[in-house]
Amino acid sequence: MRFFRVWFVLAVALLFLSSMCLAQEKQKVIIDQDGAGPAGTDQQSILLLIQSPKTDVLGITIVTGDMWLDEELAHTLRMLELIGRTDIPVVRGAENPLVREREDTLLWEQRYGLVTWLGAWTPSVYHAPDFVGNLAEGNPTTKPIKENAAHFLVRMVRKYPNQVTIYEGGPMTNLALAISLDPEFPSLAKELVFMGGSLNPQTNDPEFTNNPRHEFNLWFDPEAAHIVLRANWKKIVCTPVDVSVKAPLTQDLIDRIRKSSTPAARYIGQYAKVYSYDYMWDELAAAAWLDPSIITKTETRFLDVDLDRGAGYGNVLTWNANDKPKIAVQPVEIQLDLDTAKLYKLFVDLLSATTPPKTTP
Amino acid sequence: MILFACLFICTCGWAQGKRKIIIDQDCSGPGGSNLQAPLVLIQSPQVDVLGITVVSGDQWRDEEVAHMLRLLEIIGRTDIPVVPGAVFPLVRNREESLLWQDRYGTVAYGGAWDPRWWHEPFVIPPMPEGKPTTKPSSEDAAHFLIRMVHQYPHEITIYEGGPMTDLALAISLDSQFPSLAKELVFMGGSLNPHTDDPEFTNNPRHEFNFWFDPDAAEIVLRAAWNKIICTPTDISIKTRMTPAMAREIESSGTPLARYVARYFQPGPGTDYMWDELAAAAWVDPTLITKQETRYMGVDLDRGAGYGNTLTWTKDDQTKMHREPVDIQIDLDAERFYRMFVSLMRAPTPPAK
Repeated sequence: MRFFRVWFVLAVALLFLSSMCLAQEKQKVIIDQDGAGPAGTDQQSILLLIQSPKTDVLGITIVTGDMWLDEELAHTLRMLELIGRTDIPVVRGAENPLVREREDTLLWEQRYGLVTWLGAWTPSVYHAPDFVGNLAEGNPTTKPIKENAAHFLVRMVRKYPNQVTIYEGGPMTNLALAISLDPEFPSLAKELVFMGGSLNPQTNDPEFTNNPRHEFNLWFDPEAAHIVLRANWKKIVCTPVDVSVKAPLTQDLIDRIRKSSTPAARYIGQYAKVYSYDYMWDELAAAAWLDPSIITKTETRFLDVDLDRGAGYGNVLTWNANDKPKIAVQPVEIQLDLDTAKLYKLFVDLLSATTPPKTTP
Repeated sequence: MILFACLFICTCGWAQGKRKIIIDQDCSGPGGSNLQAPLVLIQSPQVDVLGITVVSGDQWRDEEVAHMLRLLEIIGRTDIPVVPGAVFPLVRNREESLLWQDRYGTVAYGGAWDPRWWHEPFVIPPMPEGKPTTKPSSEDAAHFLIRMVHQYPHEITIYEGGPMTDLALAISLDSQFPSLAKELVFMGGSLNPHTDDPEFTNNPRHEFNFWFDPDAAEIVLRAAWNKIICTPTDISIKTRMTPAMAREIESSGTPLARYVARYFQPGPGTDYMWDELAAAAWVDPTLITKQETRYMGVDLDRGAGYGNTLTWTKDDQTKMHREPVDIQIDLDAERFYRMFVSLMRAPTPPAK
């Protein structure tokens, strides 16, 4: 009987220790995102990161990109209300890119050609920055926190040095501001993972056939991307268009998620749509961070963005180690191919699941 | 009792009548234009200096913070917050500027990047005026600027004496920042100075503050300020501080006066009163005898013109909307020198 009691106590102790270890292993992440919605690549990638039991999402910092800042804040707040995670801070970031301006960009287009996707500046949907209107998914009642994104980012990496992954799904304005405020910000983060850039995508998508080096996130705020890409991060991982075009979003995936009745699944089921040339841009960057085995091919390149203001303004520049320029540029792990079955399974499983509760310290 | 009440109301009114200003400055020291300009504003009794935000430019931020703190200790005004700002320009860096100079020509003056005295950014060289014991604010400059204009909407003049990195950060963090300020006054830019100073003879559109952080300057110049006043190189080079002025200042015997005289460097080249004029002309606009309205920008192409001043008149301006700039072209130099000397000789107004 005594042996049984000893064994029982040991087993309980082991279970307790391993559950504590599991809690401590949660990966801290801050999601910087142009949170357009409802559903869509921006919200779906945020959801993947929240739905994973492995993560501790410290906050979601929002930046103008696919939509304007204010409407993105509303879509993100509302999504968190619908899945019951209003404990996650939503943080107001930059309303405009650092240098690029809409007026100037429209004039640039007259000289250098029309851009397929202008995000918040797209003429057919353009409205004033502070206009939000009524959301299809319902208007939020919760609010962003008072602190601004750049200060939040700096404060978090100083609070948890070397522990926080910075996930970037949109233009890099907030990260550039954080770096300017605190040059130690990148080295205090654990790593940077981002969806952005384009090298040579194999596709007939007209957005890239004439412009293989054009990608919206880096193009929308080229100066911010330049500031971020040359900063001294410990590790940079990039999900470029080249791999995005290999991960289409399909109606089948949404239908499979619809079979579940969890809050996350109902949100996706009600609001997710499939468009033409619709890829899992930001979802892949998130999924590959959660499970790196989804990526089957990577290369190391050195990345920057063209800041000349002519035809190439905002284009991606890349080099290998043996031909890179004299000015310090950082190595980037660039994802080039994936296991789509693995991606799709992770996508369906996580978005069908119950939303994990807040991480208790 | 009524008399006391009247006096009380009068002093309150007087305090509320003070012109509020925040000084964003590359406070290189000891002595010199960057520190003498804040002195002009601190010494003016009708001015309320809310704080001094410090940016890298002529020197690196940390050594500039130290020089500013030490000066405030010497003159007994440690109540004025010194708020650290940006260490590096937004986009441009020293490496890139050196390679740029290899292709497009060496700049006459490189500030913190100048090879003649370059050192690592966070190093503070020996300070002949003594090390400060007071400390800077724990708040950063951009945050301080934003907080202040929300606290005192439409009351605060933003004085910029250095590269505009801190202001650009404030604008990017809070798009309301420029319109909530009362106005922007700055020393910077160059149109067509009439001089044989080699710094400008081949480069009439080059001026250091813009050149050090061109992207920040462009962000600031196109923002929605209610009013912008510019003190360009063109007028700066019409001013000179002289040994005679330094002696006259010194004779007043105050710690401030002795500091100014001690660290005065006679010319040529080191005696223009760049930032002091911008400050004095804000305190007394009648010092300016000629000004013009133009629209200003900065060339952000990365080639030979990177950092150059761009200007337009109403008739030829670009399609991009921006606010007009009052550009100071000429001054009453004698009256300016008398004002400067008398301010430097005066007792320092106490903290409020």
